[in-house]
Amino acid sequence: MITHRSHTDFDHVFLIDMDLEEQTGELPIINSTTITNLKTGQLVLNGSPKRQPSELSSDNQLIITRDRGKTMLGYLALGWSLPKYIVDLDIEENNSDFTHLIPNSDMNDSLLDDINIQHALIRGSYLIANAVIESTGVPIDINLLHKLRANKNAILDCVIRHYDADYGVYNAQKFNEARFKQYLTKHGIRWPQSPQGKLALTNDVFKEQASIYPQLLPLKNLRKFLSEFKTLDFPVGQDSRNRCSINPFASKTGRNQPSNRDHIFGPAVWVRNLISPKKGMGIAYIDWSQQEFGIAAALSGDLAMQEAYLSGDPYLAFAIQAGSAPASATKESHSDVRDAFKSCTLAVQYGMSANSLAKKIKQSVASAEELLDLHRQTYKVFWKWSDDNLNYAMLNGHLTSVLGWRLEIRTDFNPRSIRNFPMQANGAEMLRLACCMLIDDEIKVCTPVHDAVLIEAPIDQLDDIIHQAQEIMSEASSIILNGFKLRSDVDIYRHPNSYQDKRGLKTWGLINQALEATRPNLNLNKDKIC
Amino acid sequence: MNLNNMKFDKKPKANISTKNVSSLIAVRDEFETPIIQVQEFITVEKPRKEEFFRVHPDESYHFNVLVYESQHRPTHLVDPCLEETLKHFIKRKKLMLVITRNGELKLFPVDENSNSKWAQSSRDAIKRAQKDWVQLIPVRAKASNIIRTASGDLSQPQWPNLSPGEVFTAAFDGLVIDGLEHPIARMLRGDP
Repeated sequence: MITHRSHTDFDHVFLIDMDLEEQTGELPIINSTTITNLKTGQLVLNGSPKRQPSELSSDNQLIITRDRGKTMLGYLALGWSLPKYIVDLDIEENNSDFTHLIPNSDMNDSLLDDINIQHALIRGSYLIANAVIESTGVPIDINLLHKLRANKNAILDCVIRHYDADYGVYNAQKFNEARFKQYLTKHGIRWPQSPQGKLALTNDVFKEQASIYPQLLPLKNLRKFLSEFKTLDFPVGQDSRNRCSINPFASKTGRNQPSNRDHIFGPAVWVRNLISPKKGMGIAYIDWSQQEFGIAAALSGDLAMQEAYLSGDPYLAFAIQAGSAPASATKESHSDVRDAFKSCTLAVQYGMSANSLAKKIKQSVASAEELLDLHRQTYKVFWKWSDDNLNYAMLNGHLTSVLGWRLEIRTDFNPRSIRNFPMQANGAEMLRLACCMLIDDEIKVCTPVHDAVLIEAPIDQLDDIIHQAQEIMSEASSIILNGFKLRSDVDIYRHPNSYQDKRGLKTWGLINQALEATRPNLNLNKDKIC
Repeated sequence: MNLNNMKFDKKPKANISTKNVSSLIAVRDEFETPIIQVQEFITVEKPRKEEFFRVHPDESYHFNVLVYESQHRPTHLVDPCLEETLKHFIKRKKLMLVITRNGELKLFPVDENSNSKWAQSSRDAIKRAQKDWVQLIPVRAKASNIIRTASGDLSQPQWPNLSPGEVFTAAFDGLVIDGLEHPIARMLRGDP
């Protein structure tokens, strides 16, 4: 329980600096530790203690760090008991305009005077929970990963041979621009160019062009696949678990920002098929249903929006509320209408313009404008709240989440990001709080993922623990949203089944076919990819 | 055996203090004084529709000038001696020093001679913005701007200690069309 209103309520305040050496996929090695008592200015320790110093054993003490929670991983690596209260100066500096938080030679605990200590302690609690989570990691099918890594070139060659046959634009796994130019000329395809005459080859350009020239779709997919295949370098510890920094509080909204390369939940969805519970274990991916819509509905106090959320299908509910579908409409009977209203809802959340929405729903700009207007009419209270947030931010130079995560408004502000901030920042608060509560209840959390957690448990306890975790996530949402509870969805995988994401299944099938085709002496089916 | 791996066998215990978080949920704090930033240059532009701004009440910070405006270049100041020669390409504007809530200075170009609703509503906003924090929001369907003022106990603008000359320099240093040999003047006249 956080009852401290100031750093002066603590018996001791210790600043801890650990010199950590990061180890791929493992806990760090600690070279040395410096501990300073900020109340007395006394240096408590400077060296490499084998046991936890006795000074760090009291409950009513505050630990100050400045490495975004890495010290907590150091605690675990050294086998020390985790502290109860910490404040990280690096995070608090980023969350304020206090530049004087950096301790210097004559430092003392007055450097904490200007911090809202209660909110800082909540953020600190997450760093403790996050250390436990990062040290747990995500179980990986290491044999399959080794096989993919060992056959990487053969798989790439195989896939390129298959897909590039109609284009002939790849040479030794490299995209050849000159050959692509020839292909475009031969097929009379106009292509955007830079002022210097170079072809624009970004993923966005390929996506746009493939929608105009469908014959380019396989090539676009091949390029995407090749860029995604590079993502197999994520770190895995000797116990076959993916461990990396979740990079807490790294984004402006306070969301975690793990490296896409290091985190198994990076951008290539098919890589998640490598997540595999060990024998006797099961995993569950639990995410809040339509978290951002729910947050907007709850915090804005828009009753129509809350009703839409509580219906279980906010997109269809929006269509019904707007009068574009009958009350008896279902997902099946009005799938087109639902899709359009879903796109509109997401467009509003991300501040999309009518032009972008029109492209997304493949309709005219006028139709898109009409849809956005329906949203404004149906959810007037939400729009008033959103306008108020924007105006507040513009008048005061900042916006904050309910637990004090702060967005500074700079002169190059983006109004869409400001409008979206309450959903993102409070979503982040919700996830952090849920992680703290899950760890406090000794539920094994492998990793947080945007608006979800991946948990692990023995198969015979899995159902009960999932139920417990969902209750905790509901409670966390209720705390952040002033009593409004968000639902959660769950996907369960029991050993020997691996994690599956339907969005990546096609690519995963392709990789498996290619992998099979690389096996020597294999009698290849003509339908196989190579 | 890897020492670190041994640690993973021991389930780490954490005693996390989140039991009374609901009592710490914040209500929005009171209005605060905006941050004033040091600014090396001043842009010549209308404030963005989201920005609240004030106009400097001292008329010596309102500049009646000739400008060349282009979508692709920053606004240039034009020497009055070129008014006749470049009259088809340049405009006479009144540049009003404004400050936004986050302390950014801008010179807001206002057309004093136009009778369009755009220009009229801009002039109305300028008047109001000498006393109130104002937002100027363009509405294409009405070919005009909506003016909104912020209510509440808002702090007064903190004008930086810059003379009119310093403001002018910060806005137009290196952006003056001072003769027919200037590249923009040559371009406008079609000179090779």
